[in-house]
Amino acid sequence: MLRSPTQASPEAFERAASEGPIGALFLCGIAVAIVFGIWLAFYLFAFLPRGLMQ
Amino acid sequence: MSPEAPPAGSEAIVAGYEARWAACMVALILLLLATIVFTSLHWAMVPPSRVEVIDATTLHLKGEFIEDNLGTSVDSRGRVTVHLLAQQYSFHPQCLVLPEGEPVTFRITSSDAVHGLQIMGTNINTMVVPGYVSTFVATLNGVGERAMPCHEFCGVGHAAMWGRVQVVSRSEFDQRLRSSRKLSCV
Repeated sequence: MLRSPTQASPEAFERAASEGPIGALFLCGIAVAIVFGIWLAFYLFAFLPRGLMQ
Repeated sequence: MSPEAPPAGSEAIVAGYEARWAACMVALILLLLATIVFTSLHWAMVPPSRVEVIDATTLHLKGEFIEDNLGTSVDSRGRVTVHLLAQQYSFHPQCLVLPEGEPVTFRITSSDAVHGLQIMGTNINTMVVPGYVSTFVATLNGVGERAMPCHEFCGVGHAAMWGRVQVVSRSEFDQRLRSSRKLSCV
């Protein structure tokens, strides 16, 4: 079983958690922005210029 | 060593972040759904859904898909219609002539296996199923030639099942139409 070499004290945990999960949010934000950006680029620059099919 | 339970204060902060992130994701999903609804309702752009049946065993004998009726035609009201037959391993006619910038009604069926129709560089993409007529309206922009492959595996010769589409100006289209009731570029 993998274990962290050191265990955070409750005070240290509280200090880190009280700042919010900024790193996780940053990572998720970048991932979603990349995926949504690619979708938007295909919609605007590939799908719409190819014309309608009704 | 058992992990310590997180203190209540930080738990509330993290829960707040989670709620805001979830709200952002719900908003993003709603935006994507709104785009689909807008495209479907405003432009009426939906996959061909009208189910129209036809007897695949008598296509060559009677009805709109007899050999003389295949190709591009213009009716008395000026509407352009394409009748196209897919069969292992070619489209009939093999080359279509279409006017640029005009709505064209496509009517396609198959006499044997399930085929697919795609015109490269456009959103024209439909399944062609024996016993059913695939119908849709599309406008092609840009004069030139486009490839029209079968995109549904239909047998050993599938890879060779390609057609061509010539998009020409309306004046050239009308000029060609004077010499023939049905247009194709075979």
